[in-house]
Amino acid sequence: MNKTADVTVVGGGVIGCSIAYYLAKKGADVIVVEKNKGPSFGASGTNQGACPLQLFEPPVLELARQSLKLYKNLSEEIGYDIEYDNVGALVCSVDEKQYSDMKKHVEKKKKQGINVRLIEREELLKLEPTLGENVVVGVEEWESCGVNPFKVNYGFACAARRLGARFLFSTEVGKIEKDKDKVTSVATDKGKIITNFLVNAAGAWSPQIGKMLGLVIPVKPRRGQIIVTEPTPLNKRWRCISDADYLLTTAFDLKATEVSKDKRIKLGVAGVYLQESTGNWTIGSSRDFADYNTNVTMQTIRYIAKRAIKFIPKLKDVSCIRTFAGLRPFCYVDGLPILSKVDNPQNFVIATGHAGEGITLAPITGKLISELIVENKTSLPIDAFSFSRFKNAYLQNLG
Amino acid sequence: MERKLQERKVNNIVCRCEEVTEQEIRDAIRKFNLTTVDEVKRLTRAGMGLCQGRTCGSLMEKILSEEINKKVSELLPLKKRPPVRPIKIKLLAKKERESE
Amino acid sequence: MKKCDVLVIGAGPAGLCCAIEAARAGADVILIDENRRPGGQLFKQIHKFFGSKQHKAGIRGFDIGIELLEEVQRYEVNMLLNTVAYGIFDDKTVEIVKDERITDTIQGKKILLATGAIENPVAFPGWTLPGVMGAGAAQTMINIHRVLPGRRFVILGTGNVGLIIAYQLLQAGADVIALVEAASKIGGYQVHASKIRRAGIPIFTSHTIKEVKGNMQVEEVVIVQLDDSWKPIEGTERTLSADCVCIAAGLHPSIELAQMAGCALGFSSELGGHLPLHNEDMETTVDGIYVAGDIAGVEEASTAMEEGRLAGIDMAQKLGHLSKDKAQDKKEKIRENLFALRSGSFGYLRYKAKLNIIQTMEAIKKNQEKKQWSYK
Repeated sequence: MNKTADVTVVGGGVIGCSIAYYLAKKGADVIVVEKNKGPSFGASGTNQGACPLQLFEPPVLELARQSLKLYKNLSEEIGYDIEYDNVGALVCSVDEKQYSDMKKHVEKKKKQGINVRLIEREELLKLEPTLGENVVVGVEEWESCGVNPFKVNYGFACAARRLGARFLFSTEVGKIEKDKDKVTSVATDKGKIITNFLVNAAGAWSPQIGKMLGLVIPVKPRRGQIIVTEPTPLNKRWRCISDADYLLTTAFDLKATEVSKDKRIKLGVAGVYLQESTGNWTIGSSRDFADYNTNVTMQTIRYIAKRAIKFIPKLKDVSCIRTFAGLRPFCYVDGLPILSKVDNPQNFVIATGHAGEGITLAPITGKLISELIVENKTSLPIDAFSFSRFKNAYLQNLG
Repeated sequence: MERKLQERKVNNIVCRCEEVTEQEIRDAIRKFNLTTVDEVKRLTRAGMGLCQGRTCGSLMEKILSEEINKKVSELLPLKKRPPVRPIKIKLLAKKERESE
Repeated sequence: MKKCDVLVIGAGPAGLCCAIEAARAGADVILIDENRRPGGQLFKQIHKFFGSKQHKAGIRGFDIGIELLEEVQRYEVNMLLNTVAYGIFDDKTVEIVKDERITDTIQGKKILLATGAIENPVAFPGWTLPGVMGAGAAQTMINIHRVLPGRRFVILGTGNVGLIIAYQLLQAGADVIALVEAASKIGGYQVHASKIRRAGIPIFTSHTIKEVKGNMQVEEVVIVQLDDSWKPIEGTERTLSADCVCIAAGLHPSIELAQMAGCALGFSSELGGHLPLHNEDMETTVDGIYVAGDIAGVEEASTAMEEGRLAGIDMAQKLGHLSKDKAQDKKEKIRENLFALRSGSFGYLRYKAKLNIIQTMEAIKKNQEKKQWSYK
């Protein structure tokens, strides 16, 4: 039997479930279609759950800032503890040459209205004895948080379901039917859904959905690898520590990683050390392209481990109990998310390309996309994330 | 200590590493309609400890199969990732044959 | 990085036999084991094996172990002990740590995973108290380390493991208070059971452990009778005074490395649960990765040895160290042995289960071929 819905969301990850929740909150009748057996089987379940504000640059910065605000009361709002943890964020350098860059970083962040503070080496070591002798300088800020990504994803799903949203798991989209310039229905292996809107929140798999409509969505899977350790006593001050390399090279500067002669930089390895409230550390991060392969590679794990010891030497005697890898939806044109309607079909909405920032940006993405669909305008400008920015590039139509 | 032991008796522990009880696991399965042991792990922390589910994995399968009325044979075991045994970070960091 | 023809992970009976066969044929073999000494569980088997002469009947497990170790040395197998294989990666590379300090990567043209099995837990209230342990763990403590982990034992499970351990505990000087069995009859061989009976130890069938009590360790074991549908019958509780509970509820294959390698899994309750699908030469769905022994279905040391040999011979043949005819001859003999070992009422169930695993594997392979064909 055919199902009908106001909005069909493809993808049950944190982005899809957030969209479903905010839509359902506005009274929309939503169906989420997910090919895996549940939420969080893609990037949403294979990340660190860190949301460090000071690493963001405009235009994404404003999204991140608003998203963090939404996170603050999210547990209460959805009636489920997402383990919001006000860990703050320390960006730290172990390279003398980065000192001036860090100074510039502080000035820039201050101008952006982020309450950052530069901390010299001696004070760093005094405030956080677990930091290594190698540290040069650090920048702290306390708006950032950590969350339990699984709980965010399942929390959104559960809250959406309470508001009437339906979830079809283990369900794959086979065909999208169109009438002139509108999507009319989505054919799945569990039956047809007649729908007024279709949202593509399939993350690293979103290009495949786009392809069904003849659209080239310039996103490809970028693999991130992470180490998990046994618990250690909680750090005194900072439990979310990032490598300045994250800021200066690997995460945001594509060129820098490409042209670098350093194998570590080439693999996109820059430390992000997050100590959960349980005492366990998750240690990231890396960026490489291996199609849809989610295996970890020893080469990358080795660089991540080596880097970790440089920042937090005591980690050397702590045991790794697991490693994992996830596929981030990475926009290979400019690295920015795509939050947008398209010209044709006009009721097709894209919400992907969040790269490594999916967890941070999930709440605001859900809110904005729900506004875009229900009110046809958004409370924050999203032009920078428009699909039409690729128009004159080289792709648009498959033909 | 006394109280904790008492609690354990009432609420049987399934995952010893993370001290997750049978009741917590059953509650999570019901609340979120979980259908895989990997999801049970993610939402309860059972199997996330030092042994990575070597002991409790089979217990989790059994509980899940009871809750969702499926045979254990129809469930997949917990997904496994390296390392099989806990390995010190300094050993992961080592270049091959560095210390030989 | 070290390279070799054949990399064997696990130096129990299956791993040792695979290493011996492959090395005998001329392959360059590395054999690793996380323990300080090879042999797996063989060295704690102080009882005599059953079956026919050719299956080492009448010989004790540890003597078989010594024999195999001599062979391994004779054929110059490179053995790395106290060595953990903590991960298996692309291109058949395995990461190892030796002596908790030396790291290395080993690449094998063929890899045997002979990682054995893990004891099944049973989670009754109080199972986390000190004094509750796997029967196999208790066996290791008494037969290898020569330490009695308790004085007064209750054993849950009357399969062969439960029965043998009860007897060995008696030999080691402990008191065995009772054996408890949820099924309506004893699971293991009568020969073993009668030894227990002769010693005057009660065996409570249709019973289970309801609860273990104790302040800081096991003090009391409450058992309860079960009805036909395995539900406890209220009012039938009985309290036994004991300080140690051995759980002999079977084992399940230790498949972590096989999962990491991407081997497709099957399920067989007769063989202990989830296990890697494999063909009749013990090769899994991943080309060049083999399994043998308990990882390929929990059976006995005798079948594990034969499976290991099969794998070793097939590897040697595929690596060009054995002619097809010669390998075929050897394989036939081993298959006959395996068939003989899997006879009898217990054996036949395992035989059928094994056949099912092999057939499932063949069906999957066929499907894969079909798929590849249709893509072209």
